[in-house]
Amino acid sequence: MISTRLTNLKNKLVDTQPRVYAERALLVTKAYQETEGCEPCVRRAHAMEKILLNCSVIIRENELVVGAKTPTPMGSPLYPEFNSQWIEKEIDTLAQRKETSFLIDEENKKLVKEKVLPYWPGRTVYDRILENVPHESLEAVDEGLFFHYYLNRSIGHITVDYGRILNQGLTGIQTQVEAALEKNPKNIYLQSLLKIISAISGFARRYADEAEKQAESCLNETRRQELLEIARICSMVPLHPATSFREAIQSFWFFHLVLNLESNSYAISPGRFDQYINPYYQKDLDQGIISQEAAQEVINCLWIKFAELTVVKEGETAKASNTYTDFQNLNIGGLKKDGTDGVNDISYMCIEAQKELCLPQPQLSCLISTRSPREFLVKSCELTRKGTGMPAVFNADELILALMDKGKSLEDARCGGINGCVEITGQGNDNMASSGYVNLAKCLELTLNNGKSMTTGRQWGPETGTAEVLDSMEKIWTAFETQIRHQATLKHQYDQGARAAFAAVCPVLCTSLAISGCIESARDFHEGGARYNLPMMCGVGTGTVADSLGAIDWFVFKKKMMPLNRITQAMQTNYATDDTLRHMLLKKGPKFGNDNDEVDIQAVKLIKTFVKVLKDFSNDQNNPYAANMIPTTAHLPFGELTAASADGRLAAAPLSEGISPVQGMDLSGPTAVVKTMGKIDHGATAGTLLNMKFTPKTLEGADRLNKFADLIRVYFDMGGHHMQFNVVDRETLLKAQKTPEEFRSLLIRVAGYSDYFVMLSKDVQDEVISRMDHAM
Amino acid sequence: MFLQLTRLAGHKNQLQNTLLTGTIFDVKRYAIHDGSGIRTTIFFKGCPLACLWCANPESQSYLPELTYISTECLSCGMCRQTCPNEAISLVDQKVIVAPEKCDLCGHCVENCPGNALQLMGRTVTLNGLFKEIETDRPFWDRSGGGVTLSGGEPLAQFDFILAFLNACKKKYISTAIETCLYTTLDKIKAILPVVDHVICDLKIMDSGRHKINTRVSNQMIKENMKILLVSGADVLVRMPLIPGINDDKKNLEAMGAFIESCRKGARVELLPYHRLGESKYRRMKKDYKLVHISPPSKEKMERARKVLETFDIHVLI
Repeated sequence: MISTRLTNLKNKLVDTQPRVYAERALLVTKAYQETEGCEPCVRRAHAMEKILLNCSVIIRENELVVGAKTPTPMGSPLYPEFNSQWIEKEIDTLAQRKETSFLIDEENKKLVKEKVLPYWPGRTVYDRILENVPHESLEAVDEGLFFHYYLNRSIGHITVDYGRILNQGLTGIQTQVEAALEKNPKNIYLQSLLKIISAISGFARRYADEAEKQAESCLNETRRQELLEIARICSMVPLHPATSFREAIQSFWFFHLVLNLESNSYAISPGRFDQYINPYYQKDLDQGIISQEAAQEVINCLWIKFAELTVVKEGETAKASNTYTDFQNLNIGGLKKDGTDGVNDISYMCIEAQKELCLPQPQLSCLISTRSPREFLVKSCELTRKGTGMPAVFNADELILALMDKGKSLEDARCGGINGCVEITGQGNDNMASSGYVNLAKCLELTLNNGKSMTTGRQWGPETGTAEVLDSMEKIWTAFETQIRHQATLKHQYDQGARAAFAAVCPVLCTSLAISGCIESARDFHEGGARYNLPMMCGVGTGTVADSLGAIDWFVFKKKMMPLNRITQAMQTNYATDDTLRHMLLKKGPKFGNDNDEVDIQAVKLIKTFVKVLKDFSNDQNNPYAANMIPTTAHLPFGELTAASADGRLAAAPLSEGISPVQGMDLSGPTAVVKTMGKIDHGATAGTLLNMKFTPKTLEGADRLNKFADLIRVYFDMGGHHMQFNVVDRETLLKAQKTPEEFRSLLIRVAGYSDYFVMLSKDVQDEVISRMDHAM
Repeated sequence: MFLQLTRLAGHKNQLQNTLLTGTIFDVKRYAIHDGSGIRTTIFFKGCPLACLWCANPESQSYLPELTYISTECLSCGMCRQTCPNEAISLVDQKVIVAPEKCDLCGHCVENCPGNALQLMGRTVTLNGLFKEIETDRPFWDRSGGGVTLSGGEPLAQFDFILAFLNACKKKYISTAIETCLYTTLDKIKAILPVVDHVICDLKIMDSGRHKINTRVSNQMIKENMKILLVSGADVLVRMPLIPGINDDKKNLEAMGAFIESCRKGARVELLPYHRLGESKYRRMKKDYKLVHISPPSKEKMERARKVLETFDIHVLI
């Protein structure tokens, strides 16, 4: 099925080692040196102009969609303006580290060391964050209470209004900026936006020139024609509105690429791709300009481009987010603005692209509504059966409720989608981000030790009572809520301080061009210029906490088999002197994920409590914080720093991930998992993540596949938010650990993303293997 | 007066039903191989047959059974401490249960931190079981699934399953039963109006060989199957294919001819013999007698299918 062109492009991509390039860092450093003393927006505009007009223009062999961040695919520029300190510390060890290593050649290294690093100390966003946030909040990271984002990467979690770029072109946006300037002629911010618009068109123009140049020397007539067409397209978009499918795809990609050059943000997501692309495809199809096959090939080429993008991360971040992929969440399906079914031809062509190419990016998310055709659900399941961990499936109907609960209008909620792993977001109008994770299992550890860490002895929370005083579940819950609130306060201080730092020194002008609200208010995205601003925090360890509280409730209060302090003392010593107790807790306690109300209520209550506590905190725009139940891979480093827990988990072992049951404890099959998770109020959160693992046999044949589809449908009937699946035998994973070279293309689902199994560090691999297989 | 009496009778009936108990050894959720939709399968304990290839040796005895895996044992002595009948002793760090003292109360199992002691089988009340499985209703409703009674032999607990099937019928829950048909005809006739699908086994046509391999003669089974197939009920005939035991052409032809004679176009499913239950034999300290037999290859399955397809029946694998 897959064409020679795509085979070649894919092989090249898969065979290339991730590599760091100095070019962007040199340009941005020079630009900042040239603009000392100017307004931050002027400096950013100058820096982006320098990058876009001077970076290497790269058109790879056989490409139909062009524009690259680095000379080789899977390459990463450096973004020293955010944090140069980590680069200095780690540049020599990047190639050897366990988590997401990157090569860097001596020449690039030398340039970075001599021309980039000396300039930045004291001038980075990171420096500003350190000034803004309390020390305690940073130290809590070493304790395993939090993980903070933003310290070395930009905030991100951006879904811009790509549709606006395609429909109006930069010229259309320029008209809007000029209109705003008329009212406010001296506004430097708006002037900077104009400068950026011309820089982006200059960037595209350079690609048009390069394509023309390559065409001149091209001996292959077919390719020569392709290059001329590429040149024509690049001279039109994104400056002008797209007039065809090919132009729409290229216009999209240019803007997406520019966002990736602007900042090293997390999760710059294409969002509801099929919605804004389909009109162009239908028009071309009607006019006979393009065939379905040709359009599929262009989409496949775009898929390769998505998979090329990666960002080198600082070491600790690489542990909490241990992946080369960059959370480019591409949504298909869902509803239209008017509430009718949004599934279209492009939705199916995206599924097809992933089926044919099996790449780790983009992260394909299927938004499934009761109004979606059954075909869409079943085709999503067929892709699931391929075992690439994709797509993730989302409940489009609950998504609308969740977005409206967070203040979106009905229409904006219907147009909303998913960003990052599973986070709900408006499209092109929302500043939605979480600054990292809160370790809820550690909060419970503090609760059971009177506010003190069991691993370091440091008093992290208020004294809420010793085990002797906590003589009922009500008292434990009251204490637990106090501890969560205290940690949320610390995390909130960090979040606010960090956001203030970005707002002060790091406007993101390209992003702001395509986010509704920013031009109108002449306020940057980072300054709260978006129409909606939804702050969130992620809670980690739901399953571990549920099983721990479930065990305490059962053995201490219901069965009265032991006093609470027998458990807490054993936790202190990592069960060294009470192994019998550990086995009892582990094997005889009630376990979350088996449709057992006894313990499931603990998880329901935990999420409800977390949601309630966070509502009491707000951002500068007075929006309350929302709860998001995802770990990415933070449940591993958090686990390492968390003492033994009351569910029999040993110290340093991984915590549970997402809202999934504790690894291997869901013994009653997938329907029981679904029933359990259906008890959670997903709409009240800003996203929940449920991982499930199935053996390939369970999905064999049309009949079983349909039953699998029904399982998903029931979860969504019950109000579930998200599900993702690994369809792979345990034996295969064990084999892949032993002979990684034979399993280079084995993709599996980790957290909110898929990744090559053999590229993961050993502890992430082990954790994935330990999750329960749902077999026959 | 009459009304009162019937009401009283109804009450009595209800009372009896609530007192009815059954013995099961497992409830399997997300059962996707036995009939339409997502099903919940209840495994009843006890079977009049003892097929050599039985994959569920724990299904054979009608009573719960206590099992012990020494490798999982922590030698903590919790079982001895909690046994109300002083039936347990520890010898060389291993648990010894005195069968004459043990009344299968399950205290030791409940308190065994290593899960070394386990009880195969438990007693359930009608309401208890109904409540336990009804939580799966959303899946049945979405997928057109329902409840499957399996075993062991569910019909061996006739009163219980009849009441259970009736309860399902009243609640619009679709039901299926898997039976070996080694039972009396009146029982089959009694359940037919309240069960939606019947899955029954046909193993070996020769009565003598049937007896050697399953402990019983197949006379009654064949008679029941004939009546069932003739009746027009929704029936699937299952045939486990065990190499060297029933995969010979003569047996296959005899089976095909018999089924065709009962109902033209009957559905027959061939199940390949597997050895997944072997470890359970070890756990239960029972001998697995078919150690020398390997599961049939795909080719063997296809060959068997071809033989059966010479008759007017619909064969599935």
